[in-house]
Amino acid sequence: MWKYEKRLQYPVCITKSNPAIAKVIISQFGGPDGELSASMRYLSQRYAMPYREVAGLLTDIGTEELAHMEMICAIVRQLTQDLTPEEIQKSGFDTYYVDHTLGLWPVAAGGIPNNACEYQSKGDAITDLFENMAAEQKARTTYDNILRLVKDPEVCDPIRFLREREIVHFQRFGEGLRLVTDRLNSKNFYAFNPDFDVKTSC
Amino acid sequence: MNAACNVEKQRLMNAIYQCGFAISDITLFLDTHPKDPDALDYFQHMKHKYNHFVAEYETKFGPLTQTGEQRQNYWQWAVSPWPWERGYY
Repeated sequence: MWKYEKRLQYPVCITKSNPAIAKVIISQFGGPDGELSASMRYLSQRYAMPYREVAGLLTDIGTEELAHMEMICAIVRQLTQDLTPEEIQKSGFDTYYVDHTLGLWPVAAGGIPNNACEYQSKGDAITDLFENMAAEQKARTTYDNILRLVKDPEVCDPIRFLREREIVHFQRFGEGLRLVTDRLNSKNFYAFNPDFDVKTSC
Repeated sequence: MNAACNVEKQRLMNAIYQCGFAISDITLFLDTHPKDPDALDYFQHMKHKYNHFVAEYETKFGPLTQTGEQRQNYWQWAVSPWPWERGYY
């Protein structure tokens, strides 16, 4: 169950259109390390997470990623308003426009549609948490790459906020991993899958 | 909307952004540190401030959630601007 709050997590106020940069930033909506994939990954993983605090962490970060997806979509929307067909063609946004006009569609900057292969959910607490830590770093790298291309401070500001959240999430998933390993046999963390195998006394 | 009203709306929305962010951030910390007394106190403090600003905002400018305060004679929830619109802030 979710409730919608009618505001963004952090304000997006972009007054100058820039379809070329929108085409890059949309990768954080539908790309391999984008916010949609992040949210679906964590919200899918939580059912097989045997420790409640970590299931809570997956729920809360998965929910925050939905708010990040909304910020990215707001950025793309505001960057693509008030354009003439000539401006669209000149900027290179025409290859997106031809199929979606100005509608938001989850796609990577290179044109690859959003793919559920990125929603890695392995049903193993250690595996999933390492996956998530890597995912947060990959998203942070993507934001660093975006920040090298963006010059408009109105666009940089919310992108910097999103980049910072990747680092916080990486830290929290690291703590979640520690909570998991603290409950396992320190001589062999991989002796059994706490969600699947019955622990034996031998 | 007149200028004074706009300034007041921005003031309240800014406070909601700040308190709302503090709550989101401390929530993740509490997930992995559920017994931390300072974090628990901070959460309570920010929750109180957040609820206060949301109540004031909703009374003056309309609902932030479906169950929030809104006018009796029309469905302000859907009619007022959406957050992705330019100039929502």
